[in-house]
Amino acid sequence: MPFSFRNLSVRRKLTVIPMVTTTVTLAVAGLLYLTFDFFSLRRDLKHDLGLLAETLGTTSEAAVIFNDEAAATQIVRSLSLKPNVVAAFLYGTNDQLLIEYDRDSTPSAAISRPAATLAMTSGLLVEERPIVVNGQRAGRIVIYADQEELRARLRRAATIGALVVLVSLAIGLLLSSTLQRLISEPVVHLADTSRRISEDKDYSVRATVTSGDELGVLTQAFNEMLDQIESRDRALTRLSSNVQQLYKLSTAMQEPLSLVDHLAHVLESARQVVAIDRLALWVLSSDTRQLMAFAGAGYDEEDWSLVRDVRIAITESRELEDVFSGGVPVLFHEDRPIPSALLGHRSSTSGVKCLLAVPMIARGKPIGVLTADNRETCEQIQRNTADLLQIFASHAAVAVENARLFRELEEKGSQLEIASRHKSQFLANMSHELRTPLNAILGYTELIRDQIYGQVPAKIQEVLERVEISGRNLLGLINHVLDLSKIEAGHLTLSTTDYSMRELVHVAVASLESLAAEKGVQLHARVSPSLPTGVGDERRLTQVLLNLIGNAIKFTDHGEISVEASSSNGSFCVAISDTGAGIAAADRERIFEPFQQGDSSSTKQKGGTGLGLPIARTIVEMHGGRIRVESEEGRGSRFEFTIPIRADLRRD
Amino acid sequence: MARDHVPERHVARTWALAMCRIATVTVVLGTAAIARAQVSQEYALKAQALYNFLLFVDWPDDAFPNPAAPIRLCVLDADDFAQTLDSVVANRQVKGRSVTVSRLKRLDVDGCHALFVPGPASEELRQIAASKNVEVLTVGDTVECVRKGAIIGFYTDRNRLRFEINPEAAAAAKLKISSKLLGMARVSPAAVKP
Repeated sequence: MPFSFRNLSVRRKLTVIPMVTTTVTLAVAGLLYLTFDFFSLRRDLKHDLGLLAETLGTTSEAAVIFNDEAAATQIVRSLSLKPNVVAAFLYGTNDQLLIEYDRDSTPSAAISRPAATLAMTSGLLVEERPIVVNGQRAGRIVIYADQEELRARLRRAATIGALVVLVSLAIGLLLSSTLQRLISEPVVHLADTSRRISEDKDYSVRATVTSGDELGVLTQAFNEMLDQIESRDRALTRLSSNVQQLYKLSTAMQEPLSLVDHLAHVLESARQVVAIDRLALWVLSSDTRQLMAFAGAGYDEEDWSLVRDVRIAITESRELEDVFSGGVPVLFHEDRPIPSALLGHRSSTSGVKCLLAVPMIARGKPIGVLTADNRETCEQIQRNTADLLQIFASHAAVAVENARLFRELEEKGSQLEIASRHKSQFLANMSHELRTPLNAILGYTELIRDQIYGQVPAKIQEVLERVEISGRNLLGLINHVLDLSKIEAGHLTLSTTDYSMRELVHVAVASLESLAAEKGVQLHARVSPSLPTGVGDERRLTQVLLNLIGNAIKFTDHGEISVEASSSNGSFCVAISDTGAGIAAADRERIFEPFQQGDSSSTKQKGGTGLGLPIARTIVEMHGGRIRVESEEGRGSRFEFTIPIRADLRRD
Repeated sequence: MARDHVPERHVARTWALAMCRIATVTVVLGTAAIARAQVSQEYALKAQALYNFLLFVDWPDDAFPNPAAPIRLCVLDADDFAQTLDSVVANRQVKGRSVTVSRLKRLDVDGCHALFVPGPASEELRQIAASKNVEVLTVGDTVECVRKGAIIGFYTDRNRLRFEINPEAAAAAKLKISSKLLGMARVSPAAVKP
């Protein structure tokens, strides 16, 4: 900030202003005095000199008349008594120089300064008087005087003036620096106070009133302003805390879980907002039609244990029936006795004077009562409070009702879940039981075909082959069902090992190559040469690959199938593309659901359980990966799954 | 010129001789003139001084018959001086009065305001000093005159004409002599009592 008088502190200003005023005034007065003194002194000097010339002229009349140098010398010599007279010239008749006087030369010495030189010398006062005798000009006298006396006197006056200014400045500084406090201190105090308030945001601070002048009035007004700010601040804080509590209440009530805790918390908040001693929430049980205390706030432990145990059949209590039937809050007080059950049958000792019962209505049905009571006075339970509590009660009613519905849903859900789990268990068991005899059938069939039991005619050989194919299909189906039921029963686990994705792909391609060749379909594998070692369930991942490649071969009649594997961003990406029939857009969502396939007619042709893709999806997801499909009907499909290189083995 | 053939040297000698003669004549004649001139110059100075005295002397009012009456200067037995004085005072006024010069053959100072007595003339002076109610400024030719009773007397100091004043005599004649004049003069050490 550039230096400016405006930016000086009040303290400085109050010191500087009188100083400047004093200095200027004194300087002006001094200058005026000096000027006046100078001119009056000069006038006096001139006057004196004139008088001197006059006197000398008169005195020298005879000397001039008689042209008497000696007498004139006598007269002129008296000038030595006047130190300011530099020179004098006495002229006689016909303007002849009669005698000269020079202050600076000895009387005998020759005159060193001719009159002309003197006249040229500046700063000299000149007085000339004619000498008139008998009405005739007999001669003249000229006197030159310097103004040394004037200068000396001016110098002295200036010195004294400067001293006076200095001394009065010093005294002024002393006085003003002392007296300025009378004004500056209240101002500085006020400024300090306001700065402290704005910095600390503490509006309880007050400035001290020290004087009865305008500054006092200012300070008083400042304090009153602070009073207003403080009271407004308090009102605002109260209002905002109310709003905040209400907001908390309504958000808490949206939360259906641990309802009792929430309600207790909410009741406590509500109690603080409306300044009520105790709040309790009574809920009407749907089966027994009894009111029971559900949550409370402001109760001590003993009271709460009493109240908690109370069960009120609403049919027994006329007063409560009124509350429910009216649907509006009812205030109980001295003239309208409080139902003692609501106080845990301790009306006599609890000292409760007032109780407000607000019905809780959800979907038009009364589901409970909110009670608010005060010990000392009914004052707090005013209209506003009742309105507030009514709003609160309706929110609470919705919350309680929601909770009840939620609980019912939850109960139903868990029953369903148990049933589903039984089914899975049954399936798993069944699959196992099915597989054992099937293995025996397949084993024996194979033995027969290998002619262990003797020659088998070609016709029977053909039949046996069909038996074996059907048996293997059935085994595949049973395996899939087993896997699926394991998945649904939550029994499928991954056993993680290090694996090479490159190897997995090659193994899967190699094992299916012959199948592809049979159908006349080309099968390529394109694996990035530098794939890192992965961590996951090698067997299950192979299962996924086999399933996806097998599907591709199954649904592709000509063209080619390519398997690509790459890695990026810590994931493997494997894509199986074919040039087969493709999948209709409507089916693309369903194919990953159990027991669903694409076009059911084609499935009939191709066979398959419809369980492969759901299982593949589950395995990929258990590895923390994702699987998806892109397809265009008639142009082919592309299945692509990504799994983290190091599977974090989520069980989902 | 007829003397064209005359040698220059001869001419020069002739001129020198002529000049010598002239100088000789001038010196002889001049010496006499100077002696006479000295006397007349002394009178001239004294006449001028006498006139100047009038400027610094006040007569009582009854010394004049009317305010415009002239100041009458009387000279005893000295026509030369009177003549000089005539030329000094001609057409001059002192304090509004004209100045006249009267030649006295005998000592009759009635109507005179100032009297110049040439030479020693001590007897006349003594008479005037002795007579009462004579308001006349008596001026003597020498300082001796003051001893004899004159108010002012001349003397010479270092070739300058100076004067002596006897204030008591002036007071006796009821004349006021300006201090300015007194400042110029030698004041008599002891006034002579008649």
